[in-house]
Amino acid sequence: MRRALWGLAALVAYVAVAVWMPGSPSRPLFDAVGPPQPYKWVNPPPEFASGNQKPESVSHDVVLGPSGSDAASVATGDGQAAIVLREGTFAARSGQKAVVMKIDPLDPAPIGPPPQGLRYDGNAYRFTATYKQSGQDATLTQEATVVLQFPIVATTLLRLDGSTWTDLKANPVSVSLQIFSKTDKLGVFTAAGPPLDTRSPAKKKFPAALAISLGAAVAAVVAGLIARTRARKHRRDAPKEKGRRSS
Amino acid sequence: MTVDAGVRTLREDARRAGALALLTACAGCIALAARPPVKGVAFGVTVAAGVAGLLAPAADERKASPLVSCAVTLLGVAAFASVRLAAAVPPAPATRAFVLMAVIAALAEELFFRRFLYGALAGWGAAAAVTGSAIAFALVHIPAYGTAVFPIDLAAGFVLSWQRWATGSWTSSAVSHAAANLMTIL
Repeated sequence: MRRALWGLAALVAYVAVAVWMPGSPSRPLFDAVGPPQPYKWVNPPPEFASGNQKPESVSHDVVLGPSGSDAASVATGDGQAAIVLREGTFAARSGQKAVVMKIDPLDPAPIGPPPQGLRYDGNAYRFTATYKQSGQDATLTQEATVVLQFPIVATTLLRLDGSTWTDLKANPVSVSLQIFSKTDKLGVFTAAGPPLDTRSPAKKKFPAALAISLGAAVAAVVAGLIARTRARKHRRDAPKEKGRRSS
Repeated sequence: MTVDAGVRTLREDARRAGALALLTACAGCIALAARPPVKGVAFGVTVAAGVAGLLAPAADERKASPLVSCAVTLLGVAAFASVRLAAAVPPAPATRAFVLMAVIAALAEELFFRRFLYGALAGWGAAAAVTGSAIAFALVHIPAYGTAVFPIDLAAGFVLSWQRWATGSWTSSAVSHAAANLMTIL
């Protein structure tokens, strides 16, 4: 009974934390070690030009009900850009049955230079929403979460406001090469990171992390093996010792 | 051998076993925390931690009945599924490699955290084992995902460790963890 009650508490706490987790598109847990797919560039740098494939767009109808739009997640087919919309993100309008949510990849270079000390990391993406029947622009009535994949290293997510980039408070996830942030309006977004030639500390850090990780992994396996061998020997010797003592 | 000498030998054995368990736990946690985001390497290190967790001796515990184990597993899977459904997050690409790696990584982590680490901490009581293994699980994921995901990984760690406590086995946690990983492609 005690275990069941603790279990119930753990399950309720988990669901509550996941649902109310601030500023992130929740996953059941942040753990899966999946192989990253090759990034698809609109305009690839020379080192990535060979074998580059065209990035994908998406157009998706988000259903409108009397109290606004349904909850939806719209992602490009290659998974490089996505938006997570909560229920009621678009307001209901008479005669409108859906909002068309579109995501299109762009080359960020022609838009203008990135902010000082930053480098574009991957494509820019234009997020637009229009009422399906009238064709009028649909605006966000509450924050949505924009998720972008990046190819190298990104530390921030930028939104184009007029002709300047606004730095959004972003969460980069290095393992899955994704960055996400909440936004109160749609538009053009891109991931950005520090210039590669000034990343020498990170470059130096990488082999150290690799060496530490591999060394520690080997140490863990060896320690586990020794512990197992000792435990087996102990079990084997225990009856003999017992017999010797009783005789 | 005198009784005193026998007791001394037993104490020495226990001390050595404790030191080895501590070394396995620290080395495994450091290896997992320092996993570099490089294709194959992170996965290899995760598998190595799982092997360490499988090799290290685990305390024998009374196992729950199959019915209880099934119920506990289903509760964990249902909790992860409810979060997956509520989140409406875009699915990850469903390649065969992803599916295989997601399942193996889950099994490896459960072998380390719920079979070995939980078992090593169980000597201090169930509360220490559940809390310690859950905190370690959440901490090792911070370098890869950032501090923002610490609360959800800690809460998930508590669910998985509770499953271990309730069933007396790491398999219930492993099934739930693998299911949670696979849900990212749905």
